[in-house]
Amino acid sequence: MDKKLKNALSAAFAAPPPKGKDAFLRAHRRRELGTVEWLLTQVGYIRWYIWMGSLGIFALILCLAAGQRSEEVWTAASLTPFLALLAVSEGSRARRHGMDELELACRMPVGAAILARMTALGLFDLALLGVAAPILGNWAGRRTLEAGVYLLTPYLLTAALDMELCRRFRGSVSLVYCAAATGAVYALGMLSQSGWAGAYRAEALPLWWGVLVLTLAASVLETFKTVKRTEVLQWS
Amino acid sequence: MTLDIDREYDRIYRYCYYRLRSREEAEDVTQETFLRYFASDTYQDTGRTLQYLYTIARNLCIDERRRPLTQPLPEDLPSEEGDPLDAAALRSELNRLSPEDRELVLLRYVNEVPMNVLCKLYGVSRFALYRRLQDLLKRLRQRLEG
Repeated sequence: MDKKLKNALSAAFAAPPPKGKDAFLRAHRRRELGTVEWLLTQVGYIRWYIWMGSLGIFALILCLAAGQRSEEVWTAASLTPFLALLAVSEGSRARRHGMDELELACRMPVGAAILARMTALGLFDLALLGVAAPILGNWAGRRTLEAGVYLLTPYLLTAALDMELCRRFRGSVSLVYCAAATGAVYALGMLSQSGWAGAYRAEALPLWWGVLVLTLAASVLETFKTVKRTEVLQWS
Repeated sequence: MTLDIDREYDRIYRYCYYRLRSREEAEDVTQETFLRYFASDTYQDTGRTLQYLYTIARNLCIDERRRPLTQPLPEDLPSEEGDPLDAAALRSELNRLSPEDRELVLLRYVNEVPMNVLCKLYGVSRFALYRRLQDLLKRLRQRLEG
């Protein structure tokens, strides 16, 4: 829309200035939650054992990788799917316990709450992997970026799979399916290490990048679908 | 989560003034709209704030003045925005529009209400609304240029 028309429209719909606006807003000043504040309030609702579990898996990755020969370091790296399992299980906690419809009655939008909690856990996991990548890369004699790709790919693959399963199945059975999918990705990682020689060779790195991009896209899409599902519930 | 209340106050007030044609009534209805919004725990944070605000404002305006929107737009309002000649030309064209179309132009192009909110307010599809707005815009632009 051109500026001339916009200005003319504003003039055509001009209203006299309101008299009591300042007094009204002063009397009823409200503090709205900002994005960071909102994120922090939701962090408080994440169960303590999720944080501890994530830290435990991080410690386990480092313990198992320590003292390994260069290629065997990646055996420990294939534990990252369990980090994703913890994050997704927290995001689907209400649905798993059949409380998701009750959550809809809350003051805050459920979709935004789920997104905030999963973002918080995702950032936390990303920070843990960010710490692990240079350490494991150093032990295996690889670059940090390369180690990051090996750590992040199974994590994102599991996150996408688990979110899809959580949407498809209700109740505690969803957790069983998620655990099975996580175990399958873990087994795939172990197999890449032991059965398929060369999966972690430098020549295979472009393939890893390709899979990483695909799993990243799938994770974003699944997150969007998970949040969108709450809106469908709300208005149906 | 955040709503610029200072900005939205002006926009809701402008909308109410357009419907009621009275500064005092428009201001009363605007304040009542925000009081109801503040008092609500159900909708205010569900991401549909604007839709909620405009729905309250519209309903309150209807309650306040149960009459159809047949009055032309007021002529003598001082405005710092735009050329007064353009505004006069445009005002005459706006007065030829149906009340609902006029309100739509106000909400979309003056109050800058997003398309998705308007679709829900009017209960029409995005495509239908887009076509309608494009037709209105073309008509107004022709008048302004011709």
